[in-house]
Amino acid sequence: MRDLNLTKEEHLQRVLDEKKAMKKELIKLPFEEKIRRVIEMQKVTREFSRDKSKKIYVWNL
Amino acid sequence: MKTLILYLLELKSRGLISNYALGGATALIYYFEPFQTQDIDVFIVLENDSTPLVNLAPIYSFLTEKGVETAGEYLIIDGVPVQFLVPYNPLVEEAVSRSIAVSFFDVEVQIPTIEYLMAIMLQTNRKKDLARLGELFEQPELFEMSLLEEIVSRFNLDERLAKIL
Repeated sequence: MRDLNLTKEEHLQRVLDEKKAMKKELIKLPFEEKIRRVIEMQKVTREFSRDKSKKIYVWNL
Repeated sequence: MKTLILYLLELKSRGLISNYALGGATALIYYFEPFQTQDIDVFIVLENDSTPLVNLAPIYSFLTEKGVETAGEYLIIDGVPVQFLVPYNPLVEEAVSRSIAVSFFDVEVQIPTIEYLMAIMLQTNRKKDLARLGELFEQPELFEMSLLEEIVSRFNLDERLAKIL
């Protein structure tokens, strides 16, 4: 069960630790899965780009 | 992206290039976490590398026959903007010549080792490269520091490395 009763410092530390752990998991992904994630980021960027005149490429895997 | 890799293999088998390696962000993503990027840089070593003139015409001709189109400085290969670069200095030449084969689905693609990529980032010295290097140094298990130092020393990048550490 996740401890929800933390000080601000403990909460911040937990968030940072979780980010670090997530980064390590992402680094371990196979190359093709990493490229798949890049493509997902490109889709989001294209969807939410304010500058609609700027061409945002979305790769084919 | 797989189409690009297949074209690179065909360019090599036809003798239009003698070697190649993915560069830039795409190569780094193999070692690191995925991050946003738009184009793929590919270092290509031309078959006749001894002349000072860089003639990419046979490569463009091969690609346009495949239906590849250009957009500004890019070749759009199956939706992927690609820039072909000839290794422009001894560090990049060595990085390409010592590149390794890695799997991408059922094909293999050449990429420089992470230590060479880091040395190139030090050499290019752009803000975004230095920021990325800072992140890489937070993951020391990803690279061999002694190898990086050896490359950095031979290419006179020691001072730049010292600034980051």
